Amino acid sequence: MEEKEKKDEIEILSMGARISHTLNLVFFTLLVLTGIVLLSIETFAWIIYPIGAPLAPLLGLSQDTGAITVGAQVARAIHRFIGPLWGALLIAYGIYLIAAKKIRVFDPLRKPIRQQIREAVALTNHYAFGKPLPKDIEENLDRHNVLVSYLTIVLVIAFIMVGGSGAAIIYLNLTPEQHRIMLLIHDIGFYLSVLFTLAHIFATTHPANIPLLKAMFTNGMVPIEWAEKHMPLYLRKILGKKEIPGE
Amino acid sequence: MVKMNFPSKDSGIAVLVNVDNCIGCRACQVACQEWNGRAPPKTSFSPTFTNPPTLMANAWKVVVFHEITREKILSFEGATVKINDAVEIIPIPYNCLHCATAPCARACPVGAIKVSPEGAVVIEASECIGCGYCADACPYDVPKRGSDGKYYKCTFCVDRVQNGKAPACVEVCPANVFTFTSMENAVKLANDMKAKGKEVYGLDVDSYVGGRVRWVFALSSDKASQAFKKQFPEKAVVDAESLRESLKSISIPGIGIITAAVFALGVAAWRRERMKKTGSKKTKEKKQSKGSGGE
Repeated sequence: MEEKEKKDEIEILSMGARISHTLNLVFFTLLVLTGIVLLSIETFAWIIYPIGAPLAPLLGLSQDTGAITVGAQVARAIHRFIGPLWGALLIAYGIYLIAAKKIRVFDPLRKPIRQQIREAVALTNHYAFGKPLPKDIEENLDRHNVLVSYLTIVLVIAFIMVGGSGAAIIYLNLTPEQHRIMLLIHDIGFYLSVLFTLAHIFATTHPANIPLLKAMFTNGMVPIEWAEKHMPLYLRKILGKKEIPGE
Repeated sequence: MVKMNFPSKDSGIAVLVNVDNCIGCRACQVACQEWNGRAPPKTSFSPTFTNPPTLMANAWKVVVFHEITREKILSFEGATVKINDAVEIIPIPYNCLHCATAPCARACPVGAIKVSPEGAVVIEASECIGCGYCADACPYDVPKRGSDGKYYKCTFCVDRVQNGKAPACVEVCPANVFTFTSMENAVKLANDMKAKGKEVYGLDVDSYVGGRVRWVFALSSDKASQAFKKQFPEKAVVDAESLRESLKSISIPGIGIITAAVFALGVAAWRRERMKKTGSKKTKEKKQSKGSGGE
C-alpha cells in the first residue's frame, strides 16, 4: 500500500487484491448457482431450466423432465470443474499472501478479547442501527475491523469444509458412508459461506462503505477523508504519523 | 429434499415374503434378470452361497444366504440327539424394499426417481445424472451404479404390475414364498404370521423411510433373531442424510429470512443516510436564509 500522488486519495486495494476479488466473485457465484440446484432442485430448478430445455431434445429427452436432467448435469459438470480450479487458485493465492506477509485481516484479533467484543458490539450497533461509535473505538479502527476478522474466520472454516469435502468427493474413492459425511460437511460449509456472503454484502453496500465498494471495482483508491474516519489506526501506521493525517 | 407425492403407506401394493418357505433356488433372481433384460453378472466366489455377493446394477434381486447357528434336536426311532450349534443356512430373497416415503426419491436432485400410484419406486434411467445421492440416502444399500454411470435398482416390475401381473420374481417362485397383494391385505397377513410367532420386518420401521416398506419379510422368530439382524439395518435411517434433510429444511427458508432481514437493515441504513443529508441541507438553508435576512 502506498500513498498515491493524488493528494486526497489513498490506495487501499492493490491490483492483485482486486483481480483476486473479482475472480472470487465470479467463481463463487458460479459455484453457488450450480450448487444450490443440486442442493434443492425443488426450489431452484428454474436456474437450470433455460439451459436444459434447448439441449434436452438434442439428447432425445422430453423437454419438461429432460430439461431438468440435462440442466442439472450441466450444472454438476460446471460445479465439479470450477470447484477444483478455484480451490487451486485460492491455495496458490493464500500461499503467496502468507509468504509475502500480506495478511492483515487478523490484526484486530491481537486486541484483548474484551476490547474485541466491545468493538464488535459497537460496530454492529453502528452499521445495523445507526448508533454512533464510541470515540476510542473509532480512533482505533485498523485496516480491517474486528467484525471483518470474525467473518474471515467463518469464511476460512467454510472454505476448508467445502473445499476439503468437495475434493474428497471428486478425487477420492469414498465408501458410501464417507461420501454421505462429505456431502453433509459440504452442505454445512456452504451454509456458513452464505452467512458470510450476506454479512459481506450488507457491509459493503452500507452507505458508509460505498467508497470502499467503488475502490474494489475501480482503482482501489478511497478518499483520505473516508480512510481517516474508517481506518485511522491503519493510516497512522502506514503514514508513520502519530496524528491522523489532516488533523 | 425433493417434494414428492407418495401414496399413503396404507394404500397401494405390497409383497409379503414368507422367508420360511424359501428353498434358495434363485429362480426369482434369474426371473428378475430375464424380465428386466439385465446381463448376467460374472460368477464370483465368496465364503457364502450368495452370488453375486450384493445387489448390483445388473442384479436387482439377489438371494442372500445367511449362516446361523441354533439348537437342533434330531429324533430317530425313539432316540433324540441334541445339537447345540447346528449350522443352518437361511436364504433371504432381497431387493429394493420400496419404502413408503422413499429417501432415494427425496434425495434425487433431478427427480429421476418416480413413485407410481401403486407405490413402486422406480429410477428413470434416462433422467439419472449419476450423482449417487440415491445410494447415499438408502439405508438398505440398494441403488447401484452401472457401467454407464447411472444408478439402477428393482422397479417392482412396475411394467407388469400396471398391466395386472405380479412381479416376475413373485410369479416364478416354486415355493410360494411371495404373496403379491394390496398393502392392506399384506399388513393383515403379516399380523397373522406375527400372531403365530413369526418375526416380521417392514411394517414398523423408521419414519425416515415412511414407517413402512412395501416388501415385508416374515420368518420364524428363532431364525429371524439372527438372520434379520444380519440382513436389515438396526435402524432404517441414514443419519448423515437425515441430518442433511433436516438442515436443508431449516436452512433454505432460514437463509431467505436472514436475507430479508439484512436487506431491511440495508434499506434502513440508506434511509438514515438520506435523512441525515436532507437534515443537514435544511439546516444549511436555514442558516443561509437567516444570514441573508439580517443583511
